[in-house]
Amino acid sequence: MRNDGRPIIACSSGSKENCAISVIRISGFDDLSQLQPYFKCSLQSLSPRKMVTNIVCDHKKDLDSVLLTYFKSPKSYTGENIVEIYAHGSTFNVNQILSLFTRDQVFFQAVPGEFTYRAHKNGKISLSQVEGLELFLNAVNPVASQTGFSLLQGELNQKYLQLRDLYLDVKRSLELLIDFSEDVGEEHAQKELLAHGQAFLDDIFALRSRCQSNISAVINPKVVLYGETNAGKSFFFNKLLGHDRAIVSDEHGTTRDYISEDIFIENVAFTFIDTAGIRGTDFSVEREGINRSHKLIENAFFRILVINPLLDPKEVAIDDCDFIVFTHCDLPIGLKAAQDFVYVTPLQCPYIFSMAGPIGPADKIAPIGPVDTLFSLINSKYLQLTQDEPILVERHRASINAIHDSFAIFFQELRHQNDLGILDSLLETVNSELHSLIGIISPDELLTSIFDNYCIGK
Amino acid sequence: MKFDILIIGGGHAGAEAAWISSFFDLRIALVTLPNIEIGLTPCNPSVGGVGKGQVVREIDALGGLMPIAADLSAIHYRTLNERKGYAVQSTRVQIDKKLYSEVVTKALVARENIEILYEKVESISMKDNDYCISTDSGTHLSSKLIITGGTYFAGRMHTGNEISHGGSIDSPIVSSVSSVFDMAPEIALSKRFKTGTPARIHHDSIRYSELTEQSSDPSARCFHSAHRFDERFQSQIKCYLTETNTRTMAIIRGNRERSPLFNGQINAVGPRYCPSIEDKAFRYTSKDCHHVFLERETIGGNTVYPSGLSTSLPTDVQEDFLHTMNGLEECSIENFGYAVEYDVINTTLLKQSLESKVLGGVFFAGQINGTSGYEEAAAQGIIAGINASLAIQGKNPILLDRNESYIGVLIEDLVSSERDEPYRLFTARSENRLFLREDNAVQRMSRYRAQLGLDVETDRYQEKFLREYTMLEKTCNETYYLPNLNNRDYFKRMGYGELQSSISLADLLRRSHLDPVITLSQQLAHFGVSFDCKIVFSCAISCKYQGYIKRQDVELQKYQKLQRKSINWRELAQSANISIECRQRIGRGQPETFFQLQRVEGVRPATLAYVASKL
Repeated sequence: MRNDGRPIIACSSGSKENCAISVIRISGFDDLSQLQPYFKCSLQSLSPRKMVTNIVCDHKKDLDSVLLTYFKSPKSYTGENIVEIYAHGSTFNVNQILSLFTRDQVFFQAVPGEFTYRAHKNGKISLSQVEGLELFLNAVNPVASQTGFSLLQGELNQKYLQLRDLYLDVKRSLELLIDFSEDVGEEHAQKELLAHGQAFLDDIFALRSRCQSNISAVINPKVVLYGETNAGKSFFFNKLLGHDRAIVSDEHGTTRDYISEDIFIENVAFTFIDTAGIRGTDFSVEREGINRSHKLIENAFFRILVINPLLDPKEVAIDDCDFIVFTHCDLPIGLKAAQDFVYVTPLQCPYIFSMAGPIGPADKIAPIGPVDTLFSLINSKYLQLTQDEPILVERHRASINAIHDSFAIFFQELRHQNDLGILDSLLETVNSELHSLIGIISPDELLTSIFDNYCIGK
Repeated sequence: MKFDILIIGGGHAGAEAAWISSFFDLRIALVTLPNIEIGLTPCNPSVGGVGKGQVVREIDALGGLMPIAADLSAIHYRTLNERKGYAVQSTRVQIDKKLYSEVVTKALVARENIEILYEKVESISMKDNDYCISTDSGTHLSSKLIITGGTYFAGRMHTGNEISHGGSIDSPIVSSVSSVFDMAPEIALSKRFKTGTPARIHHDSIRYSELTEQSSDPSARCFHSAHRFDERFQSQIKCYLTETNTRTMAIIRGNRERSPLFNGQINAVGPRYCPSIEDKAFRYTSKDCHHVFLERETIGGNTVYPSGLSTSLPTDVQEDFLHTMNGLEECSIENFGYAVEYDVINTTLLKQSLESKVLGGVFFAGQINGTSGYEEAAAQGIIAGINASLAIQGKNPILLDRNESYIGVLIEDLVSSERDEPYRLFTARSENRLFLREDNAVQRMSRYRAQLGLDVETDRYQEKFLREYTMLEKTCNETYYLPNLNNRDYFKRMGYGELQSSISLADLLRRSHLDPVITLSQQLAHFGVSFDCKIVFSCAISCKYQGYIKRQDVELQKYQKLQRKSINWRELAQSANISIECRQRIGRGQPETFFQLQRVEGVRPATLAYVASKL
């Protein structure tokens, strides 16, 4: 329920915890005199973009001494008249100011994202900037934060406009071939069309390659430990964390659901997950845990397979993991078994022989030697994933893929098809996809879906 | 003497307007300049071309004169873009220009309710509810006016530094739009347009022996529906191809300062799409070889039109550069090329019916509206004639949709934004190219023709055509081939490809490796059914494109929802979020809807995206 056309108010700095300063923002009023009843000092001579002190008061009662700044329309975030109030930040104080303003039905509590919605409606920020803002405000790691910021700055949009320019080149050379081939010569027009087509294809390829990485892997990468029951996953998990988190026993199937904890590597939070061991079981609770394990493994960014060389691994595939840990290698028999295993089965990924078995109190845990290697492996895989500036907005990805697919059809037909009318019609489908990427077409539907589905801005 | 409709100008727009109006039982006057022939083709002696061929057939379906006259005087037929698919094919004919004028004049003279007055218009005023037209030899009253002034209003011709007044060779001097219309001078556009024509060469001075010749195509299709597919009324001649070379271009480039187009003598704007040879020389500095078609102007006469060499250079330079070209080494010249600049009106002040918003009852058509080309002129002429006639009858005007005809595209483009340069129609201007074809002009235009309420041969022809077309279309959609052994074998033998499940005849026509027209003819012969070949042609092509057109319709509708939204150009012209250049263009174009904004030349996608996001 948006408050279209009415003045809105909200605490823009979050109101869940006490803090020193909170920013309360009011947007969309016609005249400063509407705000006067709630302030002690006159707002008459308030000049835009200058910070002044004032006192918020409820009739004769002073509530808080605040700083405030006036942004006059259209030079404000939303394009409307805005006043920002910097109040003392206790949740109680913030709430009493908010309810003071909304009490008389002159100002209305903004719904989440409403300031940004208005900014967009009034042409202050573009659609992709809105999407960038969302990413930026919700970022928990440097990659998401940087991508969001560059969207907000309009850099990606620039790329899309470039793509549209390349499209226009292709379109133009096709038109040339239809309408003016007598003037420019058939061969010349043909050559130009192919060259422009190739240039567009290269560009859309590059963009599409930035859409390949799994979005959740970039925004919230998960490192999953898996293996058969009693392989020593929980033990190794504890070792990684440096403290006991998982319950460890020699009973098969001790960990029946997963346990997770974040570990920061080079500023990026990786969620490490210890999964339920995999084995055939009749026990329904455990089977449910195993099912979840499979799902986690499937969606994991980095997979660590834990193998107890003393037990013959049957239920897990060793092919698609990033790293293998052989436990029980402090026992000579364990080490021997692990070495035999590696000798018999050639492994595609790095592995370590780790000490300690599943049993034993925490203080007996040996210092974590190989962990640094593991961390740097995880880090470099993440860097690889993010080095080509992944595009993290789902809508853009869908559009880019659609543009790629429709253009690929056009380009293929270009070599076989002599009917220029049909070729042009194929090229037009590329155009309408491009329009939706840039936001030219059907902004109504797009906007509604964006603002209904995402809480954009704060 | 009072007329119902008085038409000023006897060129292609005026002739067409007079012709169609004469079927409405009205009193028509055609006022045209004393020395100038009716239906004159002062530039290229040809009708049709890519996009324009479609227009001529649309004119035909509305009952126009140009397609008849073009067929009767055609001396060379060609189908352009023949190997590029049916949707983009167009017919172009070379005409005998003398014969063409004669045919048009005779046709108009034969209409008893048209009075042709060879007079020069001096001023126009109002008298009671009528327009009063003062000419050099009297005054006339008329209820409606159609102005088709061509290049004659304040026309000025340049050959080097020689300047003469008039809109074409031998024309009298005509004053400016704003002085003839001193009751509403604002209708004139502030800038003037220019166009040009090449020198005319003597036929007997050309050495043809080394030139590539091009024969008339016997299979190219006549324009007029009542003419047989491949009917020819004149003996067909060849045209010849030569080209410019390094020496030609060097001479032109060496005389930049003597070209009125480049030395500042002419300020008017010329068409980018129909450049003079100077334009080609200075804009494409790396290209020296340009095609030049040598086309005879009349069969009986001795003049040849070298297409692609329009110029305003001084006579000695024209002679020099012509002599560098293969076959023209010894050529002598009848008339030198010239550039002509002329007044045009602001077409944003016209309604879609072509009636002026400022002067009620006055219609404008043709080159005075800033278009180039005989076909574009004739198209506007017929629409102006129809709408002036319907207005007298108290009926609603016909307004053509841009998705249904090139004439619709042309008129909507004209009235929706101010022109930067002379407007030439080509297929890229349409969003619906697969549908706007030559073969289906009757299907596209007949319901507009029916609105005229006339009942002559044309109307009966169209009814019959549509009836048979519908029947054949139904046959194509409802005839199925079952995948039995017999049919599979037959398909293989005919080279139709596999037959795995049952398909309709229409499906078969859509197979990309088959020519739909040949295939449909084969199948009809196979079934032992006979249809008129024009109907077979049109139906086969329609089936072929059906799926593409349907999909395009969906896109167009989605898009047009957005296009119809109104925008506030005044606000946009001030907006800090739009580049200065775009703002200026918006300020000049004054677009009222998103569609019109898109039409404003030079508006960037970024601006469109910005505006769309605000709608």
